[in-house]
Amino acid sequence: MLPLVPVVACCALAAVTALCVVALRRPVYVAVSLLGHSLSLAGLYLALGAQLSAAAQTLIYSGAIVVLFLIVVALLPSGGAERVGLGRVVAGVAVFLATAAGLAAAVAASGLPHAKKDTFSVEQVGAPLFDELLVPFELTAPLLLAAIVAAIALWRRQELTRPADVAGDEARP
Amino acid sequence: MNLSSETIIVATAVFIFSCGAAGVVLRKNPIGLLMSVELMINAAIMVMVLGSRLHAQPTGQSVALLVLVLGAAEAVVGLALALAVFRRREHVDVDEAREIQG
Repeated sequence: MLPLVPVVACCALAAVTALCVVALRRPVYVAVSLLGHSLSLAGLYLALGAQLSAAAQTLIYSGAIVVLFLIVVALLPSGGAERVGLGRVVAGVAVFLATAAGLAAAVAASGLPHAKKDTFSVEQVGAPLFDELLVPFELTAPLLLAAIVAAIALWRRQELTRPADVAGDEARP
Repeated sequence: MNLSSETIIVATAVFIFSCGAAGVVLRKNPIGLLMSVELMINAAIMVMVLGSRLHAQPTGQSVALLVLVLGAAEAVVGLALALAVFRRREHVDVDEAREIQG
């Protein structure tokens, strides 16, 4: 059996912060909500006995991705208040209800077994990465490389379109 | 209905995924939109880690690690695109970007 109190606390925190990510208007508040969401999920993984996933969630999500979001929030113009029309709200609620109903029906149809006592060491979690998941694991390297190159290429192209840079390039031999 | 920890976690994952899907429709700010996508990825990872525990298979956690990397790559490219498109505009609205030029 899984421990009930930590699981309920982490799930409640994760659900509330997820709602804040969707409902809050200011990007900085949204980023802080995403940080809380990520940390509560890391706590949930600890309660599930998945220490490696908790560490990865904290390092990659809370550490890297949320900071990246905050940097981009600082670089983008504020754009004023985000005005959302009634039609968009109705569409959002409809999508929420449809997705929740579909997923709940799928879960209800499949049924849930109870958790077994086993927890896994880092070695046990890493072993499939070098066995049946070897191809996806190796493909993550070119994926990350492509993401880095794409980000730099997009940024450099935008930098070169500034008039001062274009003039500077033309002046160069 | 027996309300076990497993049921609570799956219900939370369904709620978080639905919140993310609604956020993709609702948000006009590209950062909010990308964060909603991150919510959906987080919900998927949550179910993978739970499934790993339920079925006593470490593969679920290994796949969760790979999906985490996928989410990071998606965030990097998405945020670079958002910066490239919206940095020079006054209003940050995903509906305004209607034309893409190569």
